[in-house]
Amino acid sequence: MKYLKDRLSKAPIHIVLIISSIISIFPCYYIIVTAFKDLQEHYNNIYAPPARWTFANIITLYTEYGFLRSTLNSIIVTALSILLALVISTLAGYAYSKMKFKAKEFLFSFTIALTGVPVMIVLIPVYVLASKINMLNSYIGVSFVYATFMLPFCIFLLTSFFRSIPQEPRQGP
Amino acid sequence: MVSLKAEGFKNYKPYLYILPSLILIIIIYVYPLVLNVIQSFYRFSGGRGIFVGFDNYKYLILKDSLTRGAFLHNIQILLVIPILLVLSIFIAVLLSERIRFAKVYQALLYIPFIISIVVVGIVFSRLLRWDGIINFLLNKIGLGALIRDWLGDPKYALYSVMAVIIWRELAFGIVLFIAGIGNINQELYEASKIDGANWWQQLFHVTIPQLKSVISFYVIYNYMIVFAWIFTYVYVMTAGGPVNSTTILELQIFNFAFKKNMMGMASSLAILLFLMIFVFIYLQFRMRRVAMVESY
Repeated sequence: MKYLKDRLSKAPIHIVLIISSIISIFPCYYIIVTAFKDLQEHYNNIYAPPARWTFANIITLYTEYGFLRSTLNSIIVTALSILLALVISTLAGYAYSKMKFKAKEFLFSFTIALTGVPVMIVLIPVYVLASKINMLNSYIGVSFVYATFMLPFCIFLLTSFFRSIPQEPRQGP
Repeated sequence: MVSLKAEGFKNYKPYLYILPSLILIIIIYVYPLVLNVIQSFYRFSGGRGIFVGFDNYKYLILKDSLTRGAFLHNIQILLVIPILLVLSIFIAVLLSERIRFAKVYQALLYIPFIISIVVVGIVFSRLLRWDGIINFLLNKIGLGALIRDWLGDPKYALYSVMAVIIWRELAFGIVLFIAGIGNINQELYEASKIDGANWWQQLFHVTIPQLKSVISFYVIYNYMIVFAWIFTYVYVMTAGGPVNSTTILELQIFNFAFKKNMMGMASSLAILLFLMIFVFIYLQFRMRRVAMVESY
């Protein structure tokens, strides 16, 4: 009896969570469903699941638009730039959260404020610079640029989390 | 001698840790920014730059009504911060109750954050259309009077954009606050229960005070989002229209640089935007340090 009462008292929580989950996934559902419809069916029946599932869209994407190459490029660049950003921002985040040094506040807030620099403004000088040192059209060059665009946010996140770790374990044997 | 050496060692070590990040930041951020500051004092016409001093800044701050409107829109979009804060803490608290399927809900609620903003924009401009599903549902539940072209009406376009921003950014907040709540010492809850606190009292006197540092992180993060990262939403869904009712500062920079060919003006506005974010974060950081010193 107590068990049932306990279950019932949690029903409102479930209702709230189910409604918010539906709101969260509906657009995603719409994307997936639309991907498997042909154009004709997309106009006739927009939100329901397709009557005839078709893979034509996806096949066209890979055969005619060279999506395989793009996917591969994305994977390489993502892996390289995450690796770079992770190593560099872990080092910096550790220093900003656990160490004392001059100009810490200034450097930290300057670094974080860089998230506010519109990428478009930075791009043109970086492009010119990259062409001067032969870094155009290379995975390494673009990974460094992406990693740097991620850096301010990564440093911010890691510093906040490192700060919540207590000091004591570090001073142990 | 030994102490001197130790002192010296202590002093340069932190800089070694931040050196790699500083080198990259100097090459990819500071150098273009310096070029940018220089550009902001020029007016470019016919491939030649004319030095105009602070005229660009004066024009932007005092005269350009479009930029002022964009600034006010950004301020209005700041309203999403309290909404996001309340919603994400609320849902995170519900998910941290010992309920079944908590992990499933958490996974479903995180989905919006892994869809790219461009796709989100395209999908929502479809859903918010005159014949989209939002209006369809409103009609079904008998709120036919509310049916409107959500993104095409100057009065409501900005609110629709804000709703989409909330829809996507909420996911990150929920995950952040679930992690924060997980770190709270359980003894505090047991102690408050013995003192006879009910669910709401626990929420307001234990959970929220313990989340103070996470909340401050989330507020800064969203402040940056509102001023610097919502260009894609606006550009994909409304491109600043209808009648400039959703123009934001970033879009204004984009228009100056690539539509009106006024690089000098775009640079000045970019610098102003950067300063707005920098000053806010610096003040917040100083205030937090003062608060920490006082609490000890």
